Amino acid sequence: MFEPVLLSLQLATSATIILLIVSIPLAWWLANGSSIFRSVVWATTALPLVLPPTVLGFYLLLAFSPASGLGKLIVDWFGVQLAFSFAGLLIASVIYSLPFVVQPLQIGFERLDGRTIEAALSLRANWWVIITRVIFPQLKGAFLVAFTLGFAHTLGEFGVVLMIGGNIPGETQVISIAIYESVEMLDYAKAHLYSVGLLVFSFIVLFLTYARNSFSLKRKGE
Amino acid sequence: MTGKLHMLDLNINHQYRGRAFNYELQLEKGVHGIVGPSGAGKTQLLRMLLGTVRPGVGRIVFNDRLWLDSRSHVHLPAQKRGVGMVFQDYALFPHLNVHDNVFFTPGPADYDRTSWLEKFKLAGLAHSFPSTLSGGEAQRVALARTLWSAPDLLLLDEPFAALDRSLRKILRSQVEDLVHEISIPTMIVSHDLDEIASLCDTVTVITEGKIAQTGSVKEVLNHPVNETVARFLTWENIYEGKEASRLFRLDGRFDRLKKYAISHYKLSLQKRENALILTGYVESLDRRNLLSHLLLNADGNKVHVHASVQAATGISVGDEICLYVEDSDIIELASI
Repeated sequence: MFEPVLLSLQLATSATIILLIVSIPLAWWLANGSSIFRSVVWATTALPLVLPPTVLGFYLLLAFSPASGLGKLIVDWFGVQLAFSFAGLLIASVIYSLPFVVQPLQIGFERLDGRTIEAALSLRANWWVIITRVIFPQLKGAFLVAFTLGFAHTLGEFGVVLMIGGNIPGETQVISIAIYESVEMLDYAKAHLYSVGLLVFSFIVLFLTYARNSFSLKRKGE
Repeated sequence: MTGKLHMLDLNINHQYRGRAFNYELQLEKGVHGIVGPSGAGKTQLLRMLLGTVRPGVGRIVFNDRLWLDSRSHVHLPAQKRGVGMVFQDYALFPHLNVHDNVFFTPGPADYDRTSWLEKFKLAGLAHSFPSTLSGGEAQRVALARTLWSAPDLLLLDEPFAALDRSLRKILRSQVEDLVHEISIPTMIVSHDLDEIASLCDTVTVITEGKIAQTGSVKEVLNHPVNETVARFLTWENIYEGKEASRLFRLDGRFDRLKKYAISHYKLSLQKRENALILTGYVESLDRRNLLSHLLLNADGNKVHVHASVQAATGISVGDEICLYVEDSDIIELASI
């Protein structure tokens, strides 16, 4: 009963942590870089916003398969088979939720006033102080939105999960898959329980995030 | 290198967005103005001094400390230079209130924070955020924050540009008092000549990424070295001639003509036959505002005169000067 819930939380937490690590430098580069490849990288990152999850899931499944070059390489080097495993699900989730984390961060970095960093440098602040007391507080809202969207989006994904992970209890059966299976087995009570839980949880997380950002703006008189 | 050591010795060649900047400057302690048209590279120069822009080639020495030497790959980071900068739009930290902005750095241990806020008339605004402040208040916060860090060199980038005209006048006088009180070497970037004339001891004119002229305010405002500087200083009377005394008498052809300029402030209008000429001594001179206020003693009569800052730059207390006034400008008043 709770296994899909725990697995979903584990997947969403792990994916969000990896997403933040990958997205911070990527979003900074997209906001401040001047390379001609910036538009190509931006478009590639944003692809999951417009592609049906099944398209992404299908190609990832082919790539992760031990029959493919990449899948075989990963099996040979790391001894891990990505298709129909938690590890594969995690990588797919990171790719699928990437734009939901990169874009809020990119907007945050673009809005960051570079002169406040120069001002802090002129006030003899070291880089640790500048990051923790000048840059991060100005990006707090962007980080919160990125974290929330990354987490909530991973928690609610279905198409990619079904393609990559299938429906293996304890390994790849997350909440969305468990709801689908309950409906197929006509166990509506169980489907309701998972669905209402996911609905309430998602609403509370989004409400708290936006309420916090709006309170913060009001406090600063903006 | 010459034997004399200057407070600031700077020699820089820098390329930025396809444009070349060449600066060579030696400055002594005092308040120094940097003027020039928009895009001339004034703010770039301040950023090189601050240490956030690293010039391609060059050397900067401040008070015997080497800040930059491209040959020996020395580039002292901004945090270690002790340069305080007040930015054009003040660059206050938007997420911190006035108190936390001002005291962002620990500051001098022996100075009371409440007194510091009171000194800048900020005590009542300590808990306000930057977005709620007026232009004048934001400027005071920026100055208080910068000076709290006890800089060795103060840079002010267009400090009054974001303010309306009436507020600019009041704040300029406050900044003037403050700059002289703290006695820190100061560089002020501005495109407003009145500001420079009232705040600075010396001035550098930058045009197209190059230093066109450096000298005392009086020297630069009264003797521009070339046509570019003269035109930037709003001198419009520029002529070609053989010699100054024969400026408009170009009888015949001359191979090599010189250029002459006359400041419009130095020209006065009067009909000789109907003008009263007064001679008197300057008793007092106040250069604080847009106009210089002079009080003259003409045969025991007090005469108040408002002259432009430029017109009064060569004049000091005790000088004997002449005044012209047209007869028609002497108004007869009815007896009460």
